[in-house]
Amino acid sequence: MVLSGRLLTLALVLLLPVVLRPGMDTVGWCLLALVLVTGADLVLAASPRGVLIARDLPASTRLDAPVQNALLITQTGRRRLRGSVRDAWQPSAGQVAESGRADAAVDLDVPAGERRRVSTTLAPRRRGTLRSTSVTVRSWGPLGVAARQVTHPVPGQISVLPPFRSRRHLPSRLARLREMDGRSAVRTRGGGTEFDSLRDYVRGDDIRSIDWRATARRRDVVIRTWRPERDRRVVIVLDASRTAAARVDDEPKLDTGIEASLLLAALASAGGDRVELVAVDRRVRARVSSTEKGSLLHRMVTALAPVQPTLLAADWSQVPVEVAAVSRQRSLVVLLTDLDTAALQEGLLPVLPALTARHQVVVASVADPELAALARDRHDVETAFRAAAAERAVLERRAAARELNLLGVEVVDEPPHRLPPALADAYLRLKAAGRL
Amino acid sequence: MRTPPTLPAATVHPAPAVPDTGRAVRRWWRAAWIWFVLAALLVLVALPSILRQDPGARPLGTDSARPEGGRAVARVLAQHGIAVHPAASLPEALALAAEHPGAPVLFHDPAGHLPAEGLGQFAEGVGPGRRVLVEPGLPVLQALAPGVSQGGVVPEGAPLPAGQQCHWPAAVEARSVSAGGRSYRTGPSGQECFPVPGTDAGPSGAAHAVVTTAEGTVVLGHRDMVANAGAADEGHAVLSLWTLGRGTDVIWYLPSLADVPVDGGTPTLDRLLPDWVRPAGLWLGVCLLVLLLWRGRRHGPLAVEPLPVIVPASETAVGRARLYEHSGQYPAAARTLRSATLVRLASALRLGPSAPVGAVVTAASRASGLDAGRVGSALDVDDVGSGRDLVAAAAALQDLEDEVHRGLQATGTAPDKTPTATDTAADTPSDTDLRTP
Repeated sequence: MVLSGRLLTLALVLLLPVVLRPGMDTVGWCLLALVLVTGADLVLAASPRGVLIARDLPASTRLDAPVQNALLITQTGRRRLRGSVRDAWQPSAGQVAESGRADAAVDLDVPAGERRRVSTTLAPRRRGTLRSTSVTVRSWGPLGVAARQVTHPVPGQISVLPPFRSRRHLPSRLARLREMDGRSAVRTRGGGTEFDSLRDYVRGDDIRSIDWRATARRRDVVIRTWRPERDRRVVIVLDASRTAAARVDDEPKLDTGIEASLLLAALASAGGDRVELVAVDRRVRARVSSTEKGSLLHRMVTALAPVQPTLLAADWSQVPVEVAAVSRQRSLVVLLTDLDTAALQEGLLPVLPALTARHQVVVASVADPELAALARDRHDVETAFRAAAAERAVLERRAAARELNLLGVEVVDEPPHRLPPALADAYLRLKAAGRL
Repeated sequence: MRTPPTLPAATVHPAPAVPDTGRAVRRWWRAAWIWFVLAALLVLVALPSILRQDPGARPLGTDSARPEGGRAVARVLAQHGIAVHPAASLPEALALAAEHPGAPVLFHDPAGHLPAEGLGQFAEGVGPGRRVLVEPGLPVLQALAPGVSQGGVVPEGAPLPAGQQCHWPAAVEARSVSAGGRSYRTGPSGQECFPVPGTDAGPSGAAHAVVTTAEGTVVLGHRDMVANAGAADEGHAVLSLWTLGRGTDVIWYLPSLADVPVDGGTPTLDRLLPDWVRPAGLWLGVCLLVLLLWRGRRHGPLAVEPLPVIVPASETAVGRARLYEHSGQYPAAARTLRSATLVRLASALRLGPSAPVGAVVTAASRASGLDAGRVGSALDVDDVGSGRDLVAAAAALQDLEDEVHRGLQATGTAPDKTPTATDTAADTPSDTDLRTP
C-alpha cells in the first residue's frame, strides 16, 4: 500500500470539522472517512500483479555510451492501470528517467489488455556486469489517494565494456606504422628482414640496399626496399591482482592497463602481428587471441569487461607457462603491472629471466602523478615528511626500473593518460628496430 | 505510444512473475495464521480476568462473591428483610443517609479514596451512632471516631476472646473473633472488646480488635468480620449482623475513584485552552502519520551495489610519511629529499645516474650561477635534527632545483620537461613530440 499527498490534503481538510465540532466522536468519524476513502481507492485500483513485464535491452554497451533501457508492460487485467514503474538498477548503472525523479521511476498508463513501452536511460559509471534484480509496479486508484505496489522479480543485466578512450591515439600511430612500411628500418641484414619490393634509387637511400642485379637489368640504379617484419607475436599479460586495484587519477590501474592493452592490440593487429592477451591474478581471468574468428577488439573488450582486481597477490610463476602455451616463437611480451618494489621482488623478478631468455619483454606500469605533487609541497613539517616519503617512492620505482633494464627489459612508467600512447610508441620503436 | 507488434521482445514471461492477489493473500495467510490463533488464545485467556474487573469486585462489595467480597452478609441481611443500599460515592451515600435516617452506615475505604474534605461532609451527614467503620485508617479515625487511636496490626494466631471488660452485648454474644486485621484503643468512655494478647504492656493499655465509642460508633478491626471469607468464622456473623441489622435499612458505603478529587484546585493549561485543541491535536497526529506513510514509502526494494575496492595509490607514501614523523626520522627524511634532488639534478644536467656529488655541485653552480658553496650548503643535510631544520632543508633543496632549471632554460639547454613537473597538460594528444623517437 502506498499513500499520496492527496490523502494528506484530505486529512488536513478534515481538520476543519474536528475544530468546528470538537469531540472524540468527530475524530472517530473523520478517521473512518479517511480509512474508507483509502480502502475504496485501493479496491478500485488495477491489480499491479497482473502485468507481464519484458525487457528490451542491448546485451552490452561501452562505458561512455548511454543506452536505452526499455520495459514492455502488458496489462492483462480488466482495468486500466495508472501508476508508475521503477527498474531497480544498481546505482552505478546511472539510470536516469525523463521525469528526473531520484529513483528513476517512470509514469505508466496501460489500458486493459494493451502493452506499453517505457524507457529510461542507462549511463553506466562502472565497467563490468551491471544488474537489476526487479521491477516494481505501482498502481493508483481512481482518486489518486492510495496505490497498490508489487515488485516483480524480472532480472536484467548489461555488460559494460571498457571505454577504449585511447582510441584517439590510434590514427597517428597507424600513420607511423605506414611510414615505417616501405623504408628500410632494419639495421641488421639478417634473417629478420623481409624483402618487400624494388624501386628506383633516390638520393639519400642507403647504398647498401642497391640491388646490383636488377640495376644491371634496368640500366638504372634500383634498390631493394624492406618492410618491417610481419606475423610477429605480441603477448599482453594484464596483471589483475591487488596492485591493480590502486586508483590513480580516480581510475583503477587495471582500467588503465586495459586501455593500454586495447590500443596496443589494435596497433599490433593493424601492423600484421598476432596478438594474445592473458589477464592473470592467481589464475587466468581472461584469454583472447587474434587468431580466432571475429573482431579482436570486440572480443577483447567483451572478455575484459567482467575482470575486476582481486585482493590477492599475482602468481607470476604461471606467466612463463602461459606465454609458452600461446607462443612458441620469439615474441614481444608486454607485462602490464606495477613497479611496486615488494611485489616486484617477490613475484616478477624470479620469473623474468625465463621470459627474457626467449622473448623481448616490456614492463608497463602506471605512475602516480600525485607523488610528484606530494614531493613539491614542503611548507611545513608534515608536508616535508610527505615529500620525503613520495621522493622515496619515486626513487624506489626508478631503482626498480633500472634493475629491470639491466635484465634487458624495456620499462614504460607513465601516468594514466600517457601510458597507452607511450606503450604504443614503445611497440613502434621496437618494431622499427627489428627487435620483435 | 503503441508498441509495434514486431518488437524483438527479449524475455517475455508467459505469466506474471508474481502470484495474483488471491494466491498472494492465501500465501500470506499460510505464513500468518499461527499468529492469529495465538492472539485469539491470548484474548480467550485474558477475557475472564478483564470481565471480572467490575465495580462489585471491590473489597466488601455487596455483589462480589470473592473471599474479600461482602455478598454473604448483604444477602443474609436482605433475607431478614433489611434493605441493603450500596453507595459508591459520597453524594450517593449522603442522599441515602438522609433518606433513611437512623440506618447504620458501613464505611470501608482501604485505598483512601475519600479525602479529608469528604470525611468532614460524611461526619456532618451521618451521625456518630450510625457509623460502622471497618478497618479504618488514621484519617478516618480522626474524622469519624475521635477518641479512638490505632493499636497496630494484629498478628495471626489463636482466636481472640471477648475479654473481661467487654460489656457490649454484641461482642459478649459473639464470644470470640479470629486474629488478624488491625487493633484500636479508646478511652474509658467507650467499650473495648477482644483484647490482642501481648499489647497490654504499655501505659495506654491493651489494644482491641473491636471498639465502640461513647457516641455509638462501631470500629471493626478486621475486614473478615464482614467479608465472605470469614463471615461464618467464630462469632463474626453475630458481630456483623448485630451491628448492621439494627434497623430496616443499612447503607453500604464503599468510597470509589468517584470520590477522588479531580484537581488540586489550581487551573491547569488544559482547562485554559479551548476545547477543540485536544481533538485537533489528536487529528494532527493522524495527519503526521499519513505524512510519514506518504513520504516514507519507497518505490520498490533498494538496489544493491557491489562496491569496488578503493585504494588510493599514494596511500602507502602518506602512511610512510606518518611513520617517519611519529618516529622523528628527520635526518632520514632530509637524506631522502637530498638524494632525490641529486638524481633529478644529475639527469637535468645530463651527468648520468651515477655521477658523483662533487660533479653535480659543480655543474649545478655553473648552470644556476650560484656560488658552489651555497649549492654545497643546500645539499648538506647532515645536521638536520628538528622539524624546523627539515622544512628549511627541504625548501633550500627545492630552491636549488628551481634555480638550476631557470638557469638551464635561460641558456636554452633545458630538457624538454622537468621530471618533477606534474604532467597534467598531456591529456590532449600531442603527437609532435612522439614523432622523434
